Amino acid sequence: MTAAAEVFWVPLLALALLGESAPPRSLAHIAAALPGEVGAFRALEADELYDPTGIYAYIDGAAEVYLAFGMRACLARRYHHPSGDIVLDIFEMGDAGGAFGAFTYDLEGEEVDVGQGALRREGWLTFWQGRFFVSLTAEGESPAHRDGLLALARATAAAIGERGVLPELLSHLPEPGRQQARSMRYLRHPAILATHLPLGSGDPLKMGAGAEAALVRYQDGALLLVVRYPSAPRAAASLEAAREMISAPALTGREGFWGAAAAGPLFVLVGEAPSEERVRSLLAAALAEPKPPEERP
Amino acid sequence: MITIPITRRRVLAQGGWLAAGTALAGLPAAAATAPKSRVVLVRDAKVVGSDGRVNAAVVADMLDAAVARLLDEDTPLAAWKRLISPTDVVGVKSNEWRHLPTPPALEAAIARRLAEAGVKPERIAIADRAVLRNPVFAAATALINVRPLRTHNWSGLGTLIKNYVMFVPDPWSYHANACEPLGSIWHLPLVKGKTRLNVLVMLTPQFHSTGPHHFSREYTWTYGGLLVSRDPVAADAVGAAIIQAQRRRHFGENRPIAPPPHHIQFADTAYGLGVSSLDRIELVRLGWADDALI
Repeated sequence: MTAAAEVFWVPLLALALLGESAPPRSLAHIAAALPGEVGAFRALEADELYDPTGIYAYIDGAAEVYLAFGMRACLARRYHHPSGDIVLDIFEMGDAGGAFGAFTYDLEGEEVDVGQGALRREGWLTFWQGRFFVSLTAEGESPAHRDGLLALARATAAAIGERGVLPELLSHLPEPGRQQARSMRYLRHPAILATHLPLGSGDPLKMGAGAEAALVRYQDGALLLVVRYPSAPRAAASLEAAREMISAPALTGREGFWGAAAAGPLFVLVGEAPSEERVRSLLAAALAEPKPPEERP
Repeated sequence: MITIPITRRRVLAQGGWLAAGTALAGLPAAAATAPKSRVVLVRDAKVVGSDGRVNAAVVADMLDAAVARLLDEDTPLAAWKRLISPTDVVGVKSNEWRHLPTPPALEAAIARRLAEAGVKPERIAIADRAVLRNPVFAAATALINVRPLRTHNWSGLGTLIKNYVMFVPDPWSYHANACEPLGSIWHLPLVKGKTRLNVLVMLTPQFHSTGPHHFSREYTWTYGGLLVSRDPVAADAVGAAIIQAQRRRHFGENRPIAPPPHHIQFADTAYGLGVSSLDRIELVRLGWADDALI
């Protein structure tokens, strides 16, 4: 992990676990607390509010992603500028894990200090805070748009107020200092897993409903997937599915050593590792009792 | 802790979903001798201007050339008259996604040829999201399927097969397993057996998606092409291969389309709508040949 990445992720984990939080706010309260103007960008009068059924009409092609992270509602506001608007979308999820997961769906970009984790690309900034995943899209490319994105993101984070707790499952991802920068993803739906780690058709690890997963890649190329199922028998069934999957050639990715293990409701898969020993050590570390946050590096 | 034996895996094939899928699907003995599906790839470097506008005359010429070649006719009109009869009621299933819609100039070119084939204007409709409320589509005896190819967060690609999802009142119920069941829609009475022509628009395809609005101009490029076929699956398979090649070129590594657009394969193997293996597709190339990526 690069120094910058370590600065980004490790304090993030500790802060999210230990930090204090303002009381939860509704989207209506957040909307009322948002600024009417940011620099030369002026809010258009009417916000749009979408529920899980109506969201398809707004973001055709991506609605399913946010629904898979437990989207409850989405507030959309447009800030007008003569040379291109900024579109602010605030997704309210069922919990902070859903917001963090939506944030980890796309990890490209430059880290910026907004909310509980933020990434900025050309014309697009995302962050998560509390139960909210926030996306700001600029329809212009001037320095004013770049500054406006960041200023509006910070104002939105302030309006949200509350902070969230990261999913406990992430504590089963060992060796944070050896993880590739911005490779950690959290998810709750097999289709999201298929996007990040295509293992085969359908739901090859039988995640189904009620499972959660965390995925990370290490600097030596090994990948680690930890899935917590609602029950131990489902984790054991997943292990049997993995046995069959591993025995077949991989469809994509790198060649390497693969292995899997299960203990109670936890299932762990290691892939593309440089050696058998590496597989064994990651499996054991992921299934070991996690250390409390204050003992982590 | 229960473990399974550690295994050294090999990668099946480089080239992502399509190469892997082709190899996995295998070929029944009879398929090796079965007739191939013809797909015409027509390209013109001048169809999209430097301002991003589509040149109406050029795109109409491209369509004409492709349709004539598809049916081995000397003139476009002769080909259209084989596709459509004057008594048909024709729905042109378009796509109105605001970032990358079916070009109106292409819709107009299709409508013009339908009229010249003898179909009265009141028996022609062009629509996307409103098809279920459109009386022409309700009475349609023939469909023309035309849409741009783009990446899609849930189905991998927004394809010709996927374009018919607006013919059902509950599109979200076809989302399982990366939209695997999409091909089943083509067997509903409203559309079954009615599609006469498929046009996959490859003028400025989108090869990668980011964000809720799912679109960035950075991830489109001017390919200047149309893929025209009677077989929607074959056209989609060729389009998918081009997108995959562009992703490799742009990212400098083999980055598979994600999620894998296997609804194209399922449309072949589970729903019998056409052929998805490039081995069984006759690709006819017309026009501009640079950087064809296939």
